[in-house]
Amino acid sequence: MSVDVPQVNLDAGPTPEVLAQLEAAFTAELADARGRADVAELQALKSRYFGPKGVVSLLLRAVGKLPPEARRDAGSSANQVKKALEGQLAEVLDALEAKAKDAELRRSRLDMTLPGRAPAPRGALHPVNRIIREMTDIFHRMGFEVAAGPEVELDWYNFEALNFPPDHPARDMQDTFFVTRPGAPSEASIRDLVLRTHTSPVQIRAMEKQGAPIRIISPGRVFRHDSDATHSPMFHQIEGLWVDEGVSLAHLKGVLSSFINAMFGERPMRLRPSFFPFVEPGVEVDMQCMLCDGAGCRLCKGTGWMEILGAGMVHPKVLANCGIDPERYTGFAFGLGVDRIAMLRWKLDELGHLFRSDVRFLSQI
Amino acid sequence: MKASLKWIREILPGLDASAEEIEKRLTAAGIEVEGTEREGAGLAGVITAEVRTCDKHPDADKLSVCTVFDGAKEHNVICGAPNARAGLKVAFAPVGTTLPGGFTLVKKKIRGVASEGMLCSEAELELSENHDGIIELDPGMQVGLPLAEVLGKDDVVFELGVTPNRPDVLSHFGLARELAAIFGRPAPKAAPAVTATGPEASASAQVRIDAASRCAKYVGRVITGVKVGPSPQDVQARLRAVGQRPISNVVDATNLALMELGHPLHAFDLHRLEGARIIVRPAGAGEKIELLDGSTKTLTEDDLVIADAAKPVALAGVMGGANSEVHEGTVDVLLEAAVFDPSSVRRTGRRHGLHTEASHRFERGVDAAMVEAAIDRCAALILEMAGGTLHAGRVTATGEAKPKASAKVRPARAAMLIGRPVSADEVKGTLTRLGLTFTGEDGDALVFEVPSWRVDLALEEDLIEEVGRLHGYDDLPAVMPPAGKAVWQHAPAVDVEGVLRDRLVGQGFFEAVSLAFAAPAHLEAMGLDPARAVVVTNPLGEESQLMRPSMLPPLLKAARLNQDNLPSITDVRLFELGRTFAWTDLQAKLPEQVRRVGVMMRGRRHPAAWNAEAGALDAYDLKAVVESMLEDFGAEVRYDAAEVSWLHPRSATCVVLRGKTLGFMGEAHPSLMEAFGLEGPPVFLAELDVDQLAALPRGPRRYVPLPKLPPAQRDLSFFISREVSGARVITTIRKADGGQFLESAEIFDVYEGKGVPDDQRSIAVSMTFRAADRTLTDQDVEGSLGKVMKALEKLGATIRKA
Repeated sequence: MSVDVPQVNLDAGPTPEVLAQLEAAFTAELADARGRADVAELQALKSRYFGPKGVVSLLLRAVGKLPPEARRDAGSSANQVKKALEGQLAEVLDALEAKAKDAELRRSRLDMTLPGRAPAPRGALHPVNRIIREMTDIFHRMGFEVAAGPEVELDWYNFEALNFPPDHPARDMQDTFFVTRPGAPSEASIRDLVLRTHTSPVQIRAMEKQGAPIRIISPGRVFRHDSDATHSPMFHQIEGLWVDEGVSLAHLKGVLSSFINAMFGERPMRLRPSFFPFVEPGVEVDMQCMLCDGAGCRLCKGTGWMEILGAGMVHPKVLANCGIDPERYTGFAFGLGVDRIAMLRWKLDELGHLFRSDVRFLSQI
Repeated sequence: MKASLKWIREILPGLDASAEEIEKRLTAAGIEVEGTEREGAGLAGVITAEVRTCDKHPDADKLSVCTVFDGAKEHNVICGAPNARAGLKVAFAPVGTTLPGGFTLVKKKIRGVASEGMLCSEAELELSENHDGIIELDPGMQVGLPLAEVLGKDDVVFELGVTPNRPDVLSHFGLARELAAIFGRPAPKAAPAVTATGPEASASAQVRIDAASRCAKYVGRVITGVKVGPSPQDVQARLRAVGQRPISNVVDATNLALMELGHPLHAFDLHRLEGARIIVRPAGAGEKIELLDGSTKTLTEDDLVIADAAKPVALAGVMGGANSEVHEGTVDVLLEAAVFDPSSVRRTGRRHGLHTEASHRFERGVDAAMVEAAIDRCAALILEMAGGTLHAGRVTATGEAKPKASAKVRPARAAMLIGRPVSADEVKGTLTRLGLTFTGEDGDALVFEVPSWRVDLALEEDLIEEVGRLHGYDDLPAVMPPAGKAVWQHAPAVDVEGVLRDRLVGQGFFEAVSLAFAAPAHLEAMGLDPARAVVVTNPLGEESQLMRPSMLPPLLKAARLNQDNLPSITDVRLFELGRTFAWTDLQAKLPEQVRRVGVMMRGRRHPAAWNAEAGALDAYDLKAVVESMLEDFGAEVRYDAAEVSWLHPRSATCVVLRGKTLGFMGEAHPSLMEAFGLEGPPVFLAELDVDQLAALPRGPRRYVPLPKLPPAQRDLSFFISREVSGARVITTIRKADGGQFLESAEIFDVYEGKGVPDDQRSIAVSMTFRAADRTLTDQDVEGSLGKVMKALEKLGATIRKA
């Protein structure tokens, strides 16, 4: 339904009565058109009132025909009304346009419950290397540098320099793979090449090269001649070494206690005397069981403690073998198995999973 | 080693601590209790009872129906043992008892007759291997008593993890001595001396050492007129409890003395010793001996033997010979106790693959002062169990003895090394408890004589450990050491690995960690030189015969495993960082152990999606992965077409860095696929030398100021021979411009086929020109472009569109 533009006496100019009449008529029409939300109708309304032949334009033009003294007031009030009415119309039009745009945007709504499209599949670091990275970060913050060394190693570095004399039963603690030297007599008598049984040879090489003071950790692969459900012929260790003037067993306790708290959350630890040829005194480091928090469980055999590191004060012969004066310098060394930590973290039932590269396993990590 | 608490308490009667307390304190002192067996645990519920009647089963020839009285009531029990009879006192397991094997008895009918329990044999209760019938208890035995109590099965047996430095605790006496020190009790006393009633031993046997450096002492004792037979039950049980197999009273006596005092002993049949003499000598090369375990060993001159006048009769310190073994008919015995050189025993044991209770102790070092006490104790046990006459005196020969050891310790040094206050009194107190003798002071050091059994104590640090160990470390403060002077920087070597790992993981790769071995077949499949292979002397199997020469064999094996496990999907992206092994220089001390990264990818380019075609990976996807790895290192490389035996000729590429091979990449050769059993989508492989990347000069890349002036863009398309590589095209374009205005040139389209002359392809290049100091004019750009076109035409290109 359309409302006619009010019949206005143009000759009288925009008298207050005329303006009021105009305003009332426009407001009514606008309200009416807004209800129908019809943009075209509103555009028509606009042109009927404000277009060149619109009533408002005519009215304004009529101002010119008024006596000069009346023109100013009439013009001003007419313009005010025009502005107000135009404002009302613009508001309605803007709102309608915004709504239309919004509706347009909504029309392209996607089903975001459908799966995403990945640029590449998900990859992941190996669990063992994730743990090594975490541990390396912790030790790095304590000022340890990372050192590396060969995996096929000379007997000297793997054993003898570490105070494992030849024909010493301490060598039985580490079942060893040997490597054949090319051209060596077929008799297995020459056994100077081994797959390193621990990462300790890196300590020797680093001390030889750098001397004291020194503070390193050496993560890496190690090999033992052993294979069953809980032993792999290859596994990983992180070893640490801190040699300086006045380093004590209490310092070892401090560093390892900090490490355990950072890696496994605040938990008690203890040192237990033990034996490794390259340290004296030697200790094993237990921490409160990760599974039962000390209450006693199958994992810790009811003791509430789990053995986590081997450690001790670097044996004076080892320091001397590396050209470091054992009277002036003392130091501690420690080592731990990474794979077992990975097994505990992801609750693995079998060590072999770690080294088989089965994607079904790796994708769960 | 297994140790019986009952036995320890016999030696150290003052030890009143509980088993739990002893276990805790031993572990705290460094003698780790790895396990505890409570004897008789398997006998719970089994009681003594009397068979009142025993009749034949009505329906089975070999079964009897017994009424068994347990002191309170009678039970009906079916029994299959031939020795079941009325009046017998038996071990009775009523219904509800769980036998050591884990089997719980229930009431059931056997051939129509109900049975309410079981009469047990020794084997069924795991008391012995005797399965010849049910246990026959003492006829006077009271009924209704727990069997464990009756049999004295209330011992606690510790499984001890004794570290190789502590041979002195590899015996009950040694443990008692250690516990006395731990609990502050007086040290245990040795057994009383044995009385000899026979003539002088030296009249019936002689002993000589012909290898003085390898045998410090050899002592023999002669016992005549023994009666060899089984040992008493309690002796057999005691030996079994500590893991020894009873053999005969004479042999058991040697084992009892060994387990008690820690000193290995051996008994020879005196009459089987030619010339009744013992010579300790090196073996002759090729000399043979049959040992007690039935094996025959061919000896070398490095083996030490015990010989009689004619032949070797024992492998010294390791095992006795079969030819001189004590047997049922033995009457006269020569007992041996000796001190052999540890490394000599170890070499022999290792050479012949033998590890015995004796060699275990000799190679760690026995107490040289224990020899006489041990042989006397053994003689006493033989007299007790097998009778006979002990001849007077010991026949003894000596070699080179080790001098008495002494060691010094400075209390201040102990305090420094442990990190807590340590007084001279504490040091003296602790070491004296452990059997060391304080002999005086030397400057600020205390001097101690080390007892003969502590072969591990020589250095100051050794004594400091004893002080620390016996006190324990629970109250030791945890102190962070001062920062000190150590250098602190990120090691670039590891950084490189981290960068590569992150890059590859970001592109959808899983990191693999494989056993770093390879099989000879892998070498063959890759066409690698077996002469350069690093051979494992003692592999665990075929798959560990070599150290891997390349990162790829384990990745290809993984491809196969995943192909089998995920038959419908063969999308696999794996990489591994590690060392590869080769004897590039056969004279080198160590084989070359280059760090490499291996990359293996196959399957689809993207994960399957409902809204996209997941195209198959091709060689250019691999190329992008390789490029992305190198980008981080600013490594400018060349990609040369290469002949690589394991790569498909259509994409085999050598990556060249600064004139050196950095690695190879391409599609796996069909023959390599076949060798690893790979079927289906192609496998793309790359292997790069990480050490070379790590060696590249690193540092922040230099910033290039952002351009302030607008570029000019030109595209150029042309036909050119397929022989001309894309890289050559780009190099030619760059050269033509001579670094004047050309900022970048990139190939954006390559097409061959319809509309392109044979042997040619169409290449389109997009070029950006820019100058740093002014806006380029058309003339500038056209000038450069002209030079480029000319150069391309010289290369044989037909310009289609400029």
